[in-house]
Amino acid sequence: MRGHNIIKMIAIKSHVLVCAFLIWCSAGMASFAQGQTIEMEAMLIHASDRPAALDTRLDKIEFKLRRMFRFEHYGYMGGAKTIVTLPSSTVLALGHGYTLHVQAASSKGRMRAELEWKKGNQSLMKSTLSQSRGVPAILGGPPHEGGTLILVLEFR
Amino acid sequence: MAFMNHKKAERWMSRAMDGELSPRRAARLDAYLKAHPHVAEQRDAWKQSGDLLRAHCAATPAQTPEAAWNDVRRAIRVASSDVREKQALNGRMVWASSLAALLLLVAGTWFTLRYIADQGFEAVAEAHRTEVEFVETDLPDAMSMVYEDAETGLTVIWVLVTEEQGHAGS
Repeated sequence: MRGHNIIKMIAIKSHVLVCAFLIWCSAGMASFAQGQTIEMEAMLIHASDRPAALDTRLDKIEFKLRRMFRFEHYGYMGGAKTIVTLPSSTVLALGHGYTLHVQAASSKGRMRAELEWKKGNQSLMKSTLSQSRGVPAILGGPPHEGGTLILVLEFR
Repeated sequence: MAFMNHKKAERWMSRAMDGELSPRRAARLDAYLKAHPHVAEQRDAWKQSGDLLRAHCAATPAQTPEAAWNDVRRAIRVASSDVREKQALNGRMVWASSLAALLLLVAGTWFTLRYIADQGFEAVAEAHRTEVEFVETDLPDAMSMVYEDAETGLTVIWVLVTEEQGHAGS
């Protein structure tokens, strides 16, 4: 019976290992392709040194921002999430008059995006970047009400 | 008629004649007998022998303690035989699933190593890095910079305005 239990234990552990491996494969090696439907999410954050309460909407990113920058407080200003089919040209309304124009297409399995971050008609930043799935890019720097704006952009 | 052979059929026929075979197994036995008429003939011969024996006995003898004890032992034997069959089946399933899991693991590892060998370790790491082709800003007195944060590995595209206190790039 002991041998039987050991075999059972090995079987269960093997199944767990295989599942973990498959999840890792699908998360890590997934690539983008033309005609594929993807989700893009942009989040506008106001970073400043003025004390304020923690914003739970930033739970997934704030701990990273704290390691990267030296601001005391990070507040959620707005954001947008949309699903598009590649190649795509879209405008994300971020709130407070800020918009993000995105032309996205797949390139060698990655997401190549031409971005223009605007406040009204003023262009705050133009950039072209290539991203992997699930790896956010951090854009920032424009001053806003005694603090600084940060834009987190992610493709999934 | 998978998992049924002549010997098993004989055992089940014996149990059926003693009234000890479950309805499910009785149905399987019937199907087997239909497909194997010579075994069915054997069953009929057994039945005839039984009938003859009963006909020659004037009365059914009263059950003795020894016969009762034999009945109990037979019941225990039948029950334990069922349990053993189930355990054997479970064991085979565990072996099969273990083998399948192991094969998947080996195939997955092989695929990963092959992928890394083809792409190279640096290329695999590079695939997760954000590449920035260009940055520009229309903000007055501002300059742009791109860097990768060493701690998080995330790429930062930053517009540095002159008045700013310089929080970026800790």
